[in-house]
Amino acid sequence: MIRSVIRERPLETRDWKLTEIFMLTSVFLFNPLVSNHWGPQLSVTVNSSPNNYGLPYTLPQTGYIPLGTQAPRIPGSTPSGNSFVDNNQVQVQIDQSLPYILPMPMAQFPGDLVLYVLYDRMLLISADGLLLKVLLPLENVEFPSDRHHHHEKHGAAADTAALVYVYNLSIQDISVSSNGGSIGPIPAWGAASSNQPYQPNNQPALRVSSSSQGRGNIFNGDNQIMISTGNEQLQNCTVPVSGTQFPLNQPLFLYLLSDHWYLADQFFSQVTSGPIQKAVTGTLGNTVSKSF
Amino acid sequence: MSSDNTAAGNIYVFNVYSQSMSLSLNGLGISAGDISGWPSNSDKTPYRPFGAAVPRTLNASDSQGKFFNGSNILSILWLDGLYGASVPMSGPLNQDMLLFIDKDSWRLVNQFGGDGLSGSILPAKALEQLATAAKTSHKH
Repeated sequence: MIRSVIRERPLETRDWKLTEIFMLTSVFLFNPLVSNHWGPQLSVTVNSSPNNYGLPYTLPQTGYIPLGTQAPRIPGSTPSGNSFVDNNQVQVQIDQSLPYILPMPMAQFPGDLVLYVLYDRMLLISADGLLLKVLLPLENVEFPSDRHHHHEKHGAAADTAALVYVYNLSIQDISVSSNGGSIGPIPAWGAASSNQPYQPNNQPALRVSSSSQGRGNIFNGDNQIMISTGNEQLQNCTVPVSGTQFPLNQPLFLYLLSDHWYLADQFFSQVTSGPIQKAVTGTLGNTVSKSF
Repeated sequence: MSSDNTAAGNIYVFNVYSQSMSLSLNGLGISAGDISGWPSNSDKTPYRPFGAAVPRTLNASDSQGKFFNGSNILSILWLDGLYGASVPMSGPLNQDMLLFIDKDSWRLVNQFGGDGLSGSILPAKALEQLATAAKTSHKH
C-alpha cells in the first residue's frame, strides 16, 4: 500500500526549493502460528511505543490464512510512535518477551515490507516476495521445553493423513506441482491496494507415507516441488519431510516465497527452509551450439 | 478396557500415540481389536491414552495374539506405517503388567509402576535391515 505525499522543503545549501517525493509505505505484520481458538494474540512492540500491535493467530476456521496487521513506515532514524523507521527495536511477546533489532533502511529496502513473526525468528520479505532478512532474537533465549503447552489448545488427534498447506508469498500467481503431479494453482498474495494487502493464499496437499503415492501429494522423503509462474518461468526446490519428526496425521505448512521455502509445524517451532531455484527446463534456449 | 483373562493375569497395553494402533502379537492380532489413538483436546479427556487387556500365557505354542514368557514379537500398524518390537516377558503368569507404547519406544512396568523394562519401536524397514544384517553376519 503506497501513498504519495509531496512535501516542499528548503534545501539549505542551495537557494532554491526542491520538491521531494516521499513514498509513505507500510510494514505488514503476519502471525502464521496456528491456534484453534479465537482470542489469543501475539503482540509486537515497536520502538518502545505503548501502542503495540496485536497479531491474531492463524485459525483453521479461516482456512489457515494468516491475517495481516498494517504498521506505518517512515523515513529516518528517529522513532515516532509505533511507526517503523530505518532502525527499530522490536519486542515480540509470545511465551516470553523476545527483543529484536530490525534494520530496514528506506534507501536499502524501499516500498512496503512484509514481516512474518514466527516463534523464534522473524522473516523480512520484500513486496515482491523476496526474503530480505532472517532476524533472530538478540539474546540466546532458552525456550521452555513445555512451550507447546501454552498454545496446546489445538492439535487434534486423527486417524486420517493430514494436509500440507502450501502458501504463495509472492506477487505472482503460481501453479505448484509435487513429484510430477499438480497440487494446484495458488493466487498471488493480496495486492497492495486490496482489502487484504499481502495476505497469502494457500492450497492444501495430502500427506502420504510413501513416494509411490507422491504425485501431487507430499510424502515422507524428499519432495520435488515445481513452481510455475506462467510465461514458462519455472522454479524448483526439494522439500524434505520427515515422517519420524512429523507423524502423518500432523498438518504442516509450506510457505513459498519467491526465492526461499519454509516448512513448519503449526507452532513454527520446528522449521526447515531452503532456496528456490530457477529450474532447468530442458529447452535449447540457453544452449548455444556451434558447428565447425 | 475389557479384561480377557480371568485366571492368569493380563498385559495392559496402552497406545500412547495420536493414531489408532492395530497390534499383532506373535503373528496374530489381539482379540480386543484396534486400540484408538489418544483423543484430541476437544474431548472430555484430552490426550488420555486408550488401552486393551491382552492375556498372558506360558508357552510359545499358545502365544498367538497373547504374551508368553519369552521374547514376544509385536507388529504395530499405525497410519504412519508398520513398526515392530520385541518385548521380553517373564515372571508369574497371574501378575498384571502394563505396556506403554509410544511412537519410538515401549516401556513395561508392573502394577505399581516399578520394575521397568524398555526398548525401541522400529519401523518395519529397519527390522528388515537388522534381519538381513543378522543373516549376513551368520553366514560369515
